[in-house]
Amino acid sequence: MEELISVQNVSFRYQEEHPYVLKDVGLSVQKGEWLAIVGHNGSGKSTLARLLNGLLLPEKGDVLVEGFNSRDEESIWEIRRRVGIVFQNPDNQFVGTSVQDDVAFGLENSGMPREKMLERISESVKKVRMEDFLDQEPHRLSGGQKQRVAIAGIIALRPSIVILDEATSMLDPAGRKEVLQTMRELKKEEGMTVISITHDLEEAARADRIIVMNAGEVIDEGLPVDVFKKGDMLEKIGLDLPFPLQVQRALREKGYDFEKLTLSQEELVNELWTFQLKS
Amino acid sequence: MDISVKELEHSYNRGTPFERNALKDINLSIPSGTFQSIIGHTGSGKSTLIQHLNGLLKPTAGSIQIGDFLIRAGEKEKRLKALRKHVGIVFQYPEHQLFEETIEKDIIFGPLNFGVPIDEAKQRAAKLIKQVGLDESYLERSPFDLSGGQMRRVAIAGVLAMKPSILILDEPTAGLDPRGRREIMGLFHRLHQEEGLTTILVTHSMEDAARYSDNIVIMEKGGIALQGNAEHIFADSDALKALSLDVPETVQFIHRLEERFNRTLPQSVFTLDAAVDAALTILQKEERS
Amino acid sequence: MQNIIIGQYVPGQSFIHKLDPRAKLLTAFLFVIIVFLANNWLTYALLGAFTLIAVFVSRLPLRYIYNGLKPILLVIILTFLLHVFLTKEGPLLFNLGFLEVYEGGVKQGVFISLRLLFLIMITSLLTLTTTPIDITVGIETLLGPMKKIGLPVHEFALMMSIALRFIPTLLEETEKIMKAQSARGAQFSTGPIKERLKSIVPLLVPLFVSAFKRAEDLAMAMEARGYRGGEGRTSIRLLKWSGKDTTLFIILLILSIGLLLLRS
Repeated sequence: MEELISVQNVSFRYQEEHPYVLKDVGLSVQKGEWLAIVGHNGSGKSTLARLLNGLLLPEKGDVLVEGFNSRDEESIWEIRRRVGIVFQNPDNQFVGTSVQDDVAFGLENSGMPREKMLERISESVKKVRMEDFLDQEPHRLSGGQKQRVAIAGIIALRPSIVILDEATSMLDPAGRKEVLQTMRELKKEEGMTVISITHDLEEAARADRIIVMNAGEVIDEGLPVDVFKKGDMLEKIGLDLPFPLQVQRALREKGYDFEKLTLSQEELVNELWTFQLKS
Repeated sequence: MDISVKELEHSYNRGTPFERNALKDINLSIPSGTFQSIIGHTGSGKSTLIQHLNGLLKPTAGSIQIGDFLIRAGEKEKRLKALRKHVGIVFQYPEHQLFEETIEKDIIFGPLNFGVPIDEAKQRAAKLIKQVGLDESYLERSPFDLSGGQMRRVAIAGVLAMKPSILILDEPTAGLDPRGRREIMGLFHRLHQEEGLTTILVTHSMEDAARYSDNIVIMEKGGIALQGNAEHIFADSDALKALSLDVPETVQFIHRLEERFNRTLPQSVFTLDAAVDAALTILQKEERS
Repeated sequence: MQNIIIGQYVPGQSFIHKLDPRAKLLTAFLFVIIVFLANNWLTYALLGAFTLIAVFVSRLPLRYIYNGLKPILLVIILTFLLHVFLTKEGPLLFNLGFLEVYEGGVKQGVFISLRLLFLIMITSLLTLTTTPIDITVGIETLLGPMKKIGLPVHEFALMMSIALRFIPTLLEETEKIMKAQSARGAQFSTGPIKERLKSIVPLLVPLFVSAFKRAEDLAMAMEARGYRGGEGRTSIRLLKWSGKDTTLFIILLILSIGLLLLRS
């Protein structure tokens, strides 16, 4: 495993007299993994995202991206090229007047020659399946399409990490599916590293690893099956357990002792089947 | 007040090259005091439909009867303001409509517009701020100092302060975290029962629709694709899948159990408890046999 | 809300649509100058012919041209009347009690009105056949050399293109907020001016709040995507000067010479 990001003892607050939004946070991101950072609104998870690509700088501690420290002014642009963020509001991050313009925006900033830009653009819009919309204006696109354009704009820069900062929370179910599906494909086919910041535990259940944040601190970290063992803790900090886990917990209270945690309905029904066979 | 929509049709930008049919042939009746959900993909016409229910949009054809108010294509209903007093709408992201210096002033904006005396309006504000889960001391604060979730509660209080008898909710929980979602839906459900409101909920959440509604309408491309109570709507998973809509998780669970255990289970299972009970009946019966 | 026309572009494939925006901008600019060369019936006829041919070649529905003229029509009529009644040259045509109408006045009135009419038609042709973003890029390139003397050309162009990008979004938002406040009993269209101004507050405050939020988000997103000013930036938009554009200039040149020869 290769470490891409290392966050070391980071504390952060927006203004000096204000309370800390992040307190002594440490974590590491491995190449090729899908990492979910979960927590309810105000837990500091979006602030963390902004520290990861140098939009904000830590008050204490360090953020290292592939060896570049976000404190060095020279490194900031290296870091931003390596870490792309898809933000929450699809409208407020669409800079261009058309899909092509928007995907080009980051490339233009990097000073890429036009010919090469055109190549990169056509390549990346294909990956998010927006190639038929190149001339479309943003107000004619759905939320999910706009977010896919945002992803295309990021991957055109060939970053090592894409952060989804609650990127699906303003979308309808169809839009949410299409964005997550797109990211899963990119991870699988391109080996992209993904950090998904979300309060949707169902989405997090499909991650490789979960970090739980509450009140500015990392309070748990591990594989989904391990984190979900602490269902009560997750609910206490305002998160909803996925439905299969809720059913399983209720059954456990009735005296049915499950061997393993079931994150999906299929697993749950299979477990119930084995129960029935045993008895 | 009963609502009855007849052959409603609406097209945007009529007479221009951008003309677009947003609604066609909508027939819908919502009896007073019921909970009606409207489901459909973005662009299926849900928002257009609800805006007809208090005269924000006028029908291109057809009619809408609400109590003794009648809105018909081509005719002007002169009592629009009186109608709007009865029909409150909580729009999507209602926090965007806040504008006053203090929360109290914002909440009483609606009532004052409808001629409620200021003292009474303030009393309502004091009561409502607590109902939506904030402390009374918030009344004197600026709405813009609040968190997004709190702003939404204030905006909702501003609509409730008009004491509407019909409450329309356009995706009221969009963008909230799970706890906020639960609390807001709990509030609306309580209000619906306690105040005898007619509630119309536009939502993407099959779970909410199944749990709270007396009736559900599913819209597709400006028309009504399916309509009936939750049991009826969710009995036919294939029809929903054909519209690329989800089935509530509880219903999916029941269907999976039926398939695996080759059993028939009760169909109207829309809560966690009911789903757990269904699992228990299976396990217990299998144990006995 | 949807009826508001701000430089409304009508898509098309005509000769004029396909011209380089710089050629169209320069033409419009030069036209504004050469219009003042005309001073007799013949020269006005020449300008009129140019304008009408341009409209014809653009293959735009005449309705759009008319719509563009509508708001200015009153101004044109007023200008005409002012000249008719106030210019006292040439033989007296007729006398309406205290108002005397001279031949020179009528001529002057017709000329000035035509001048206005042509100017508006040519500039609307520019906006009707060129996307606003192309106009912006055209201006940015044309003004490019001014960067050297410290003119913030890139910043201006970026500002314009972001404004263009957000006009539909903000219009939509305005409509939403108006509806939300109407549902709370607000009225926007009736009552005396003072009341109307007051009634607009519930619309303006939320609009400003949201525009600031958007601006903040957008700045963050731009920074995250590596934006750091115009220096060293390349552009995806490419303008191509072709034979068509040169042809246009030759036509314009002939027109100008014609005007110079024929004016009295």
